[in-house]
Amino acid sequence: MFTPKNYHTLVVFRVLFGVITLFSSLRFFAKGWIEELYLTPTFHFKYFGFSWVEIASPSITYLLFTLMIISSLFILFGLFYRVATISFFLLFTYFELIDLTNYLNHYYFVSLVALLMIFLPANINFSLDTRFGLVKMKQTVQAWTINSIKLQLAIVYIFAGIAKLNYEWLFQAQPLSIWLAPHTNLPIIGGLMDEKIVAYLFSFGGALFDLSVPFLLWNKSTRKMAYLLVVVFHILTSILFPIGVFPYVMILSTLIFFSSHFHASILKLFGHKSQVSEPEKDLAIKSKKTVEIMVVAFFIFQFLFPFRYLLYSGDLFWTEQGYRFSWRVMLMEKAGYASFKVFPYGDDRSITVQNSDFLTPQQEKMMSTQPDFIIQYAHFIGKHYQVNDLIKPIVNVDSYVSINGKGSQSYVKNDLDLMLIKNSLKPIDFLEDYN
Amino acid sequence: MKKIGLLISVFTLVLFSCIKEEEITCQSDFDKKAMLANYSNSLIIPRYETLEKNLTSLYTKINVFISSNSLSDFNALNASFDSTYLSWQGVSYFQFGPAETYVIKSVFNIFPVDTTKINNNISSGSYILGSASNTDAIGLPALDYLLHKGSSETLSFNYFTGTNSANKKQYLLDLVNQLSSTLSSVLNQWNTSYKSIFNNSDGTSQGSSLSNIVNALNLDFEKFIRDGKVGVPLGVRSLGTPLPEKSEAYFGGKSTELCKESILKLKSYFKGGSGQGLDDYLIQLDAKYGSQLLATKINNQFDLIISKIKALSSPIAEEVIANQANVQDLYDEMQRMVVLLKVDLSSALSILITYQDNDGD
Repeated sequence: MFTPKNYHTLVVFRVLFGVITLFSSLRFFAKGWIEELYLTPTFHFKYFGFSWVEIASPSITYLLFTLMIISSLFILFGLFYRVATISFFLLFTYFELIDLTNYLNHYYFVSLVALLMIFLPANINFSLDTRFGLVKMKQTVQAWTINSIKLQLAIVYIFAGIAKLNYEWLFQAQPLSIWLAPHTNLPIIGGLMDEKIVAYLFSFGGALFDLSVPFLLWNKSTRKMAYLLVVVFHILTSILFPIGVFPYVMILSTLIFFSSHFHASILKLFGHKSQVSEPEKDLAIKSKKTVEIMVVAFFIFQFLFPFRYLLYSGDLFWTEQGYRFSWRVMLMEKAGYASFKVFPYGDDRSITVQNSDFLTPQQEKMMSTQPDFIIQYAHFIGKHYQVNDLIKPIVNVDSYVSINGKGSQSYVKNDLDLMLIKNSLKPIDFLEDYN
Repeated sequence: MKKIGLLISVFTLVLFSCIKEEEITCQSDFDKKAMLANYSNSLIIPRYETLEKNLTSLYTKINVFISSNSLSDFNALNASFDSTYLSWQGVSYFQFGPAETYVIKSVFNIFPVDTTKINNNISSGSYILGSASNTDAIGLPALDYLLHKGSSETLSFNYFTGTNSANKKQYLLDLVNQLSSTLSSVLNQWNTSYKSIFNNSDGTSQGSSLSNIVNALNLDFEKFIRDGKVGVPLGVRSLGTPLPEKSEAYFGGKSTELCKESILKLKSYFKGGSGQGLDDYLIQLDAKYGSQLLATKINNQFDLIISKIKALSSPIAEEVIANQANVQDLYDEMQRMVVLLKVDLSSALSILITYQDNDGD
């Protein structure tokens, strides 16, 4: 854990992390998503335990986003590195916490890595901090600093692989049968995309890839081939699915598995001449124990957290209790529709809510398939239509969900007053049974 | 570790050799481009052309009426208006591409209209129909209002002989002119550049033709057909109090016919007319609803809705007062259709349905 290593690998990762986050923030900005995802919605879905996170005014929001972009830039160049990583981590996480319907696994990944980066000395060389003498230039880093990133990446793949080991994925080739079939217009392989056998090949191939690639990357003899697989796999997914920058995040991040020599040669491209030498043994290591405890705790949490779904008895795809923050990436096709009726006077006079009055299309789509969203939204519309403090409005929902193309089934139990249901970590009992 | 490496290489090899081999023998049985071409050539453009023909005829009839000022010509004008309104029903769910550029739906059919605004426009004689403030004083609903001012055809006719009659007639002409010019812009764009864009955009992303077709169909069915034509008059937004004056073609009392036409045309659109359509594509994808084909289920649901419309004996505006339960029945079947379209159809076509540009994972 504390073995000295050459600095090159960690420093290159810093630059790449800066590049990735800079690019993805600029892309986010350019696509007008700050407006669309943060400022346009009149109602934001909250993360459990983070309901206090509020969206700021438009000008402050743009200011904060700009600060985040500047933080990325500073990380890239290694200037005021510690401050920049802290500010990036806080701002990025803040933007994720604004609205749960925007949740993506790779945002969670970026938040976790940003948190790690705060504690990694990725600015001790090839940085403006050392150029300006703000930080003393060093040649070595401790092994854990590089290995923790590798482990973080391995966790993503392995848990994504474990998640695929379910009946529908392996033995019905779902959801890939549904997802691949419309791609018959692709060059060369297009004509095959609606063949069942291809969906099976992709399903098994995907699971096998996720489960094995971290080991193949870690092992020197298989590394090059594994990296080739990484590139092919992620480029294929980016062609087939609308998953934004995630494939490129993984393609660039996994370069960290390569040797110091490799990273030194990357740095050389930028005119940074250096030698990869046998790292000096004698490092004065301070607070070894604290580091150990922190790193171990961080990863134990990550190994356990995705398994929390085992605490719930319902079907994971149906209830989604324990679904998020578990690297369940592109795992199911779920579509839904929820139509709410509010009874403002508590009697039989009702209003059918037009969801588009309150939600963006993206929010409505997400809300219709996830129970905790349905409850949050029901409480919002209940309050919205409340006439006075004395009369408690009643909110009902008529909702349907289809998983992996099996056809729409009734979702939330009919005629329940959703105003009486609170979101909690307890197992939910307000859904119909899943067939 | 070597073993896993070997396994992967073998797997990759198998995958790629499979692909290579099947490439020659295996082509997809379904030609999406042909389906899109069918949609543009046999459904979308012809329906726009019918509407255009009806509008031209309506314009002529108005002019004939203006010069003759006779009741029989007024009646002929009314009949022409009815066919125009009917032919609009078949195009309202083409709201993408050119239709979106020229916001044709807002120009043609936003109801209810603001009658005070229309009367003020007429009495002042100065107005810009395309301005934002006039969006509820134009289109087919404004014509519906002006052509049905009285409780009988004669009384409606008399409206155009009273004060300000020149302004009133001019307003009719201006309304139809606005419709014609909007439609001809849309149709022109379809015939020049958009058709080939549409026919060739057979991908799966947001903005591809199939995604446009399905999204526009979903939106129109839920918001304009179910809610606009039926739900709002029924009172689903007003604590169950019926709002007959908010129904389509309220003044002419043609709401039930228009609603029926809308569903009939939508069904034929879903089936791709006599060619390849969404139903064939769903069959090709083997999309199921329970043990039944999803395409069959949707077709049956269309028929059920049509039978519920046929059960209405008078315009929706009257039915929501006299036979509320019948309209509620119709609404409920439409609601079931929304589920089929938004959940089952969307799911079967999977990632085609991205309502908003965003990343997934």
